Amino acid sequence: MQAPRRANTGEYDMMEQQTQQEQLSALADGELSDEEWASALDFAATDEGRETWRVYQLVGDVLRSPELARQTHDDGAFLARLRQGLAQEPLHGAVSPVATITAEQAPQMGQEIHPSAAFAPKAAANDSVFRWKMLAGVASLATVATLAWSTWSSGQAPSGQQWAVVAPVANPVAVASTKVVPLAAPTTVTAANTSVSSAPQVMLRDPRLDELLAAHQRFHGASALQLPADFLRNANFESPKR
Amino acid sequence: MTAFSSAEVPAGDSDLALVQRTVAGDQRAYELLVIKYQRRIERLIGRMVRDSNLVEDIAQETFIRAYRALPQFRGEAQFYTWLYRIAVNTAKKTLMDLKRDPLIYESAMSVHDENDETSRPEHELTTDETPETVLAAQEIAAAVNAAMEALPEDLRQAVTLREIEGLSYDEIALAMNCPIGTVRSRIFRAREAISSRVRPLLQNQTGKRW
Repeated sequence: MQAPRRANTGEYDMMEQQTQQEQLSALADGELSDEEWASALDFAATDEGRETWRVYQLVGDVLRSPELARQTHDDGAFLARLRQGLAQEPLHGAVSPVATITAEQAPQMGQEIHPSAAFAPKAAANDSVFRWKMLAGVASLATVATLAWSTWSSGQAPSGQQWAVVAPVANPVAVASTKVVPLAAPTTVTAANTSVSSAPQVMLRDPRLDELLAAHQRFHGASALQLPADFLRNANFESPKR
Repeated sequence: MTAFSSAEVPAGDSDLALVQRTVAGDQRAYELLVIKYQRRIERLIGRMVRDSNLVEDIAQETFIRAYRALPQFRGEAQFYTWLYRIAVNTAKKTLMDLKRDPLIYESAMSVHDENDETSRPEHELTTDETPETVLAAQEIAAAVNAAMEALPEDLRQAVTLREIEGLSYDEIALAMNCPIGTVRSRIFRAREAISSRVRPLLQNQTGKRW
């Protein structure tokens, strides 16, 4: 009775091992069902499980590229050393100020894990840097706003040239005795005037000047400047001689 | 409700599932990732670092840094792409700290596709490869190929579609016109058949430095 029982036990162990190896195979392909995760990771934590996993990965790599058919550094020692290094690191999913799970609630394999718990946001190590950056950004915005306001305000204030144009209006009598005549010949505008303002200009002229010009129409000769050439000649002629 | 539904982890992405398990507090899952990528990472670093003793140190540091940063990994890129960047940066920083001149192959750092570390000419040895390690690798590759040739057709087709073509179990089941459970079983049996030929070679090489 003992021998068959031992045989059955050995057969069961072999089947169990095959099942676990098949689970690792499915895990390597990302096709492991949720219910099998606990068993697969338990087996992967054993030496035999790790070796199985390692060989499966090697076989896959070699099938894709024969150049990857190479051993690594001493795998056992590498992993043992890495575990020591990881022991210095805080365990993921255990302690987090804003995490929804605590160390005691850290999921055991096969238990339910809420995705939001797995990826709960944590305070970044460079949070303080971001705070300073935000402060600098606010200061920059304030500076730009101040400059924009001052520029706009200066644009609204009247300039010296505008005051000069408006000034004659202060004497209403003089304005009434004159008439506003549009500048007949824009070509007479000097460069100095155009450099000051390009807006349409008006010229204030005494109406008696027009009467004088009309009376001397027959002496008036057209010139390129649209001015009475004779008058100009006369004026030149009448200048005192030295 | 299950721990991680298939909607959260796409089928075929074992890395993301292992990352999620690690972030949830199970360090065993991270060890599986380390075993999976240790070979590639050491090979990558071995092409950048002249000192072979430094390769293992940098690989260790790479995996520790990756572990620290794991909560920031969102699965938008492949895990190996992410790990590759960490390894390269760690190697550069280590070399800067040591004020050594990195021996960086042009083809490794600037011309190669970052996910393709296999396009190096075959005759070109990495910095710490020896003729013996190259021979051992060739023996393993030959054993894998011989085992593949000896597989029954259905097993060979299943493992080829999975490992080389990258199909999911669903897609393989459609292609082979069989249940998903059969696909899983065939792939497992194929792996075991190949592994049985490779394991003796690995045991002979145990303790040797590659």
